[in-house]
Amino acid sequence: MISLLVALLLVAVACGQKPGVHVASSNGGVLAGQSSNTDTGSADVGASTDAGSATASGGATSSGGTSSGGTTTGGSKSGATKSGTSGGTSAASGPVKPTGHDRTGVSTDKITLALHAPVTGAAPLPVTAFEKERDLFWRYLTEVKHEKVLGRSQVEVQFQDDKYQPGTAVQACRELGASSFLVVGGGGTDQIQACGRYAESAHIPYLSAGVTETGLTGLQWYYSLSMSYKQQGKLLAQYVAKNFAGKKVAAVITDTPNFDDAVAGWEAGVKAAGLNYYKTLRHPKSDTSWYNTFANELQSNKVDVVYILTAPVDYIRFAQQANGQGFKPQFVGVGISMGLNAVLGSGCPNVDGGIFFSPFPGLDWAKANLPDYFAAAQHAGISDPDDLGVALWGLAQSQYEMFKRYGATYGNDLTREDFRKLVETQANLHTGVFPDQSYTPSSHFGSNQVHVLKADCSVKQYKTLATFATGF
Amino acid sequence: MRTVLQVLIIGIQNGAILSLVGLGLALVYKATRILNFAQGEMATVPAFAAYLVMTGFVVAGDPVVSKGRLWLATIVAIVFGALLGILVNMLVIRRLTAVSPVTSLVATAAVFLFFTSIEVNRFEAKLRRFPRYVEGGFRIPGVNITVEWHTIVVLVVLGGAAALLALFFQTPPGVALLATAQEPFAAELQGVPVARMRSMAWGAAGVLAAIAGLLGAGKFNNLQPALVTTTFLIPAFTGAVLGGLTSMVGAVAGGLILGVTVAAANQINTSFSLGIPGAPQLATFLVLLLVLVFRPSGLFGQEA
Repeated sequence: MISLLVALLLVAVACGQKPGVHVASSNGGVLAGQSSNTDTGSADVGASTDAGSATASGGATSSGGTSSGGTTTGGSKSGATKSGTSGGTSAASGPVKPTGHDRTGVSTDKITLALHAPVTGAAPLPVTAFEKERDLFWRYLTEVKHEKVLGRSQVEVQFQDDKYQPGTAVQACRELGASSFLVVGGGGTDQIQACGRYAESAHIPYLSAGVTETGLTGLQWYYSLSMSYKQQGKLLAQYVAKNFAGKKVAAVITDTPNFDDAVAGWEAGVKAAGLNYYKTLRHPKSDTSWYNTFANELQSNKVDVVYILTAPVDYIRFAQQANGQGFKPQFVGVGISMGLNAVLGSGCPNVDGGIFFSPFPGLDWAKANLPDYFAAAQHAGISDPDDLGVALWGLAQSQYEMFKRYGATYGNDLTREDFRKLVETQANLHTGVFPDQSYTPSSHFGSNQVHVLKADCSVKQYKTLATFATGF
Repeated sequence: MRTVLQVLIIGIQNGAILSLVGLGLALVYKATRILNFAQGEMATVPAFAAYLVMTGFVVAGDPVVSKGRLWLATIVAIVFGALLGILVNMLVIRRLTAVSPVTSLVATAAVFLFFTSIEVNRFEAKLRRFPRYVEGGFRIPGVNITVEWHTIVVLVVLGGAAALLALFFQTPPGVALLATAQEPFAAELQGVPVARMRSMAWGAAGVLAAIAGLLGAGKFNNLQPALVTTTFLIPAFTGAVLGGLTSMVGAVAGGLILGVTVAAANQINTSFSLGIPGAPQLATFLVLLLVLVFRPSGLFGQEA
């Protein structure tokens, strides 16, 4: 009898539990410690997107002509049509077993995320905002609302300054990616492009606000959280045609290959809108000798509206030098950092009235529509919440929405490969801050909405003119 | 003709600050044979000292900059700049007298990095408002460009400084300083206090740098960490080499010539829509190459 019992025990041990049973159980188990960097995502590298395609956001057209959302404020949204993407918003029944193996930055009780941004360099962004507010959303979620993120009670956000240099950005992304689940690019086109390409090679999920499409189109591990500059260029031309009808228009854009698609999109938009266009002036990057020459050129040719796409420091200096020449054009533009209040702190009064598209609304809109952000700031002892904090909040919310969709599909076992696969099938990721996002396997540029901000130097803040606009 | 005048005015406006920074570089080189890559930060740090005086030592947020204290701030910055120059010499340069010029150059670069990190730490990497001594400008009839009063101030300061320095090197102390640079051992045997001479040179370079920092920040009405280094130093160095690193007049002329060259390149590239990438840089190096082929010591450069 005893022998039989021992024999049965030996058989049980030899067979063991079947693989994956603990994961397939309700809400899955957490596979702690399995953070290998095995390469399994490449199987999903599929058809490349059309280079320079203007259709984004999961197949929906990027601008729908006139739209009811074009001039509204207060959080109305429009135009984020649901495309014919597969996957929808959640799995039909129960979690699907993840097939990925890379759990970098994921432990039993913590998810580590990462962010890089230009703090030093040509963009005058205050470092204290990143230090204080990079993880504000997650702390509020876990400490105040006591919610868990995929079963974890902690979400840590690491941060590095990329010094507005692509080489430094790649180094930062390499270091951050070694210990974080995903990396977010906070700003700086060249830096985001460089990191995006690095992340592709290292199979790290990489998110950023929309910048260039050059070098990022077709990447499987990159997701744009807002319209690219090329897409926004066409929208901007519509806006100028509607609000500055009959005015002479020109553009001043940094001469970097990563802005070539932005120029192409803008000039196509200019043609489609029938604007009275002078020319596009390109200035060398990191050069400070062009301000007066360009101002003089534009003034001599009676240009009224200038689309400016440069580093914020160059914008401030150009506006200052142009004003000194008695040239005060209406500045318009796109760009993540141009619409920050920090630009007005040192740019006013020369940049007064400048109108910019932005992936996040202004602080004035946030005060009326984002009470949780201010509650979180108060809880964290932040006495001066700013628009950069709103942007970081929106970035975090986008990630949270993705994690929620992931949890509904795969449960709590978070892997990079499955995360990437899931996000590219998601439609209508709504955060109420960043534009709605919809992705397809062939397009990771997921939005067709912008917010419109106008500089008000009397209070040194951008005012929100429109939110979630898809056309003008 | 109008376009030529515009290019000249823009070029001089851009080149004036370059000349001022280049003058400091040339002074240090002529007196000590060291290429000082810390010259930019020896300019920016006193500018921040002036900023502190004008804001009442308030740094956080967006403090009010009192233009009423600008002249007091100027005096503080100049004294601070002189002391800073002497300190750099005493703590770093003097300890490297027996090393190669490359090592000294690297040491000055280390000084630049040190000061930049302090600036970023103390003042954050953001733009801060900085006033000019004189606002506004005037128009020359028939030319569609404003000549800024600020540029006139820079040119007056530049002319005065260059003339003073050029005269100084004709005086016995100036000759002694040159002797210190060329043959320190022989100069010491002749009774020249070599260490004191070098400190004097670095102190004077610090004064020049401080003035350049104040006027450089005023040009854009903004001050930020590493402003002078990142915005003016390399072009200033190029201008000083163009004019002659051993000539005070040459350093001034080189900066102005460089400013005009760059303005001309920008104007041609823009007006004719040539689309040449990096046109200003291309023009700069072409001119530099041409000058150095025929005059390796620069346009006005010569040994004492």
